[in-house]
Amino acid sequence: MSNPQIEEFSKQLINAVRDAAIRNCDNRLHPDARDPVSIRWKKAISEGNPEALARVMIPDIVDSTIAQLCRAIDQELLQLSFTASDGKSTNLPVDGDGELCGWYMGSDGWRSMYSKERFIDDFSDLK
Amino acid sequence: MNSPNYALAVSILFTRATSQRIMLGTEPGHVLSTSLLYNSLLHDSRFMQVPMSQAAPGDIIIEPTKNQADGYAGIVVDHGRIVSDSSTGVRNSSSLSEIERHVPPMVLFRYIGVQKYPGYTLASLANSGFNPDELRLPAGQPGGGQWTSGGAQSDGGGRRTAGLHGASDARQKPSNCGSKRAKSIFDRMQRWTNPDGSIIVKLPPDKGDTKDNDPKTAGQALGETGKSFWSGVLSQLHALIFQLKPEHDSSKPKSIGQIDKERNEEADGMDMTKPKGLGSAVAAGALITAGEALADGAAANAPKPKPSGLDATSEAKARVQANKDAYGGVDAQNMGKGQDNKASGTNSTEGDAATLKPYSDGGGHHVPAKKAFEGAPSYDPKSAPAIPNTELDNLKVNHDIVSGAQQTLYRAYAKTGKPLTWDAVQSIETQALVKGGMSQAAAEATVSKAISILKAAGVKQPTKIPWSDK
Repeated sequence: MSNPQIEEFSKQLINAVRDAAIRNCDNRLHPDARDPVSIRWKKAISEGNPEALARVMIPDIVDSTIAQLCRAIDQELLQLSFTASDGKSTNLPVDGDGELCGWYMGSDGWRSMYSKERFIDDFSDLK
Repeated sequence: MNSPNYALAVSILFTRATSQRIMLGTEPGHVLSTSLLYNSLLHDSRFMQVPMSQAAPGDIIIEPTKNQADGYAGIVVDHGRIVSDSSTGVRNSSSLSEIERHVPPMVLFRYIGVQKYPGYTLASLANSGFNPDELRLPAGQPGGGQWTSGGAQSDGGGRRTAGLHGASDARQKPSNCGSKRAKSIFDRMQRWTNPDGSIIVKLPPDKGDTKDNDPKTAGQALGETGKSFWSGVLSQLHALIFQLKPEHDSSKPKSIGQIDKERNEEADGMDMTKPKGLGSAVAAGALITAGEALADGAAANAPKPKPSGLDATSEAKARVQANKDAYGGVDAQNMGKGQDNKASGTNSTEGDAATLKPYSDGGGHHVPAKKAFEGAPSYDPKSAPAIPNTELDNLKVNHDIVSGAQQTLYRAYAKTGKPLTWDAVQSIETQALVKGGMSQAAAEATVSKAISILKAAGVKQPTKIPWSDK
């Protein structure tokens, strides 16, 4: 690609989002991992039902990937802006206060507010 | 009268016996739901599920409730009895035989940490000496359903009193049961019950004190090491019951909730962690809490007192030195040199703080959240302490989950309307790391270390509650 800015964007996207998500998901399978996602996956694996396992893992993998995207924005690795339907633009790293990943993942965050697909609240015990 | 909180009682007893939290990331006094407790035990590698037929002293018995807060939970003691909360305190009037008839079936969890005690056997011990044919008081009367042996019954409110009142016709001495084993249980239980009935459970007699000829008494069957563990549990229970005993009116033992309330009035701990009703003062008071653990850690990590009479230059140098001390030799105001807080460079173990570096050095997870110090003098998010990405990977900590837990906890705190304090930051950040998969000890040590670094850098206090407008 001839556009150097797009080239840099693509590298950041792959490194900070795709690769980070794969690395994070790989870590969930490690025997030492003790977070709720890891526990959920290991339990599903032990039950030996491939389709059920896939159904458990799909939303978690999607969430992990989007969380990496949000974090890349929070950390200003991806300095993205968003133009709303009213035509106004917002600088996501600045206006997001570095909290986009938390808003995405949190108990009463965006997933619980807007998602129409399955969502497990891993933080219900913290409220 | 307070409603029984079975989960809370189990949590308290477990923490006192093992110095661990029964639900990782949750303070002992905040375990208020059997549903959450059940789900936690189900997924906690420290516990193994065991069949009811293999129930042993120390096992946690719990009703596998889902989406409801109030089920049953207790701890198995010997002779098939179970200790659990009641409306007026902890009691031991339930039994495995009752539980086995419960629908839906109860579930047993065993703390596998007990196996570290040499000589401990996982043989089924709970029913040693237990006679399922032992007569019980008829239903529909005070103490109905309880065992006739032991010379103890409930007064109807859960308190066991010496002797039987108004039910003597139903009482049949174990000797009449024709069972030598039942007789021995009767003898033992007599000794376990105080004459005034104010203490519900007493420590079992020492091995040497046992006149019981039954070869499968608890102490003998457990072996000395296993007995030692279990005695620890019972002694904690014993201590708890003593706390519940009223000073002036032994007929009305205090419930956990009453104790809680009284301690609440005295304690002014982490306000954000105060749950409704039960547990808040327990958390702030007698139990092993993050606050207590951190008090030691903070003291150890706190910057050394500034010598008096320092001029501005000396003060600045002292601050830089304090920063270096806090990071383990790294100059916090001139970071980015690739050093970390560990001389050895090895990965964290269970009780060690995770590696912390200035954020600009390795990215990763800000500890605490940078938004909490927005606008604070001396706070620089780039030089602020963070767990680098490589360390998060090494420790298998799920950064996404940590972020979600931070958001959830800080928003919950914001609803209290109270300003953010260092203690609250310590508690929230620790819970978030534990939720992400870090051990409790490592999380506490890491957050304590990070806060010490910030304080050494001159950050006075948090300024804003993250993920809120406050």
